[in-house]
Amino acid sequence: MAGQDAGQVDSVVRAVLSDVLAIPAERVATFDRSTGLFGALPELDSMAVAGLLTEIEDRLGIVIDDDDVDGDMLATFGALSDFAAAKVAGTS
Amino acid sequence: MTRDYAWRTGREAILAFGQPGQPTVLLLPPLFEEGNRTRALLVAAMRMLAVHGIASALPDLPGTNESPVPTLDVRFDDWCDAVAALAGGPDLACTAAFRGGALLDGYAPGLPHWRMSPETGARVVRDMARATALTSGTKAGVLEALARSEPTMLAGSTLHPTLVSALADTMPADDDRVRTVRLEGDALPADAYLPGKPLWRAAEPGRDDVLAQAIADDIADWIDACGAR
Repeated sequence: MAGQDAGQVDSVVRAVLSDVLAIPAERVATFDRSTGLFGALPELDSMAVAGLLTEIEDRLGIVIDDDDVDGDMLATFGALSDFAAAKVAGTS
Repeated sequence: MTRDYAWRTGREAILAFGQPGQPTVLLLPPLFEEGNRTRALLVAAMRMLAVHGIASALPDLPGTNESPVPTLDVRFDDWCDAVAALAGGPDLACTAAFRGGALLDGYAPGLPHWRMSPETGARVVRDMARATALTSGTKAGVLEALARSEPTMLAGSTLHPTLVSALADTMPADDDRVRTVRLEGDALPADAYLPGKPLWRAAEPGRDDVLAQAIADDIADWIDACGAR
């Protein structure tokens, strides 16, 4: 999915958070860049992280290297969105 | 509606809907934990297929669901043989494989294959290694290599290395009569995109009757398009 801008990536990441973690879309819509994810959202346990990342890969057409997966890129909504946007830019 | 079927030397349960003589869909469920998360969806789709006058059968593969076979004892060949045994059943119109189940529909040769969000074996294994890596503190690549050499717990199941290796090297079979559907929003190519959420990734099992109806309608249309009834 080359050519997606940061706004589209933001929307996809929100949709995946809602779909995979069963968090209502209205609540995900209130997330801002500083909203905490891993360690802050009880829905996002370590098993759920795998589904979250793989679903983001599928919808954005990117591949996430497991070496890239750490607490920092999952710490906040902004960090995760930036990570995904950088991957999309790298594949375009 | 629960019967059983014989494969090689064993017997496994099979959930069956519909009447004898009706065209029958053989469902091949997602593998491992994804199978549990999607069972309610598959059963709802089976009920809706019945409204179309289509019978359906959802087998337990050896080592899955209520199977008497311990998961650690399962080999990939067991699943292939079980599907080959099921493919000899009466009135079969097509297979309907979900996710990793699509790795097995080639063992039901001669039938049209309907597939939902099919996965390669490599991705099935990688998903499970990734899910386990974050809890175990071991890198996913290291875990996967370990799982190919000794019995290893991946995503809640302890699997034999021959199963992991065979799975990781398997792709869905090429076939002339394949229809692939995916969920709306999926970036991968498909013949159709259905509305719904990826229940196989959800933390808890869920159901989605709108998606189940879309699945049943699409399978019914595909059976008609194949002239299988």
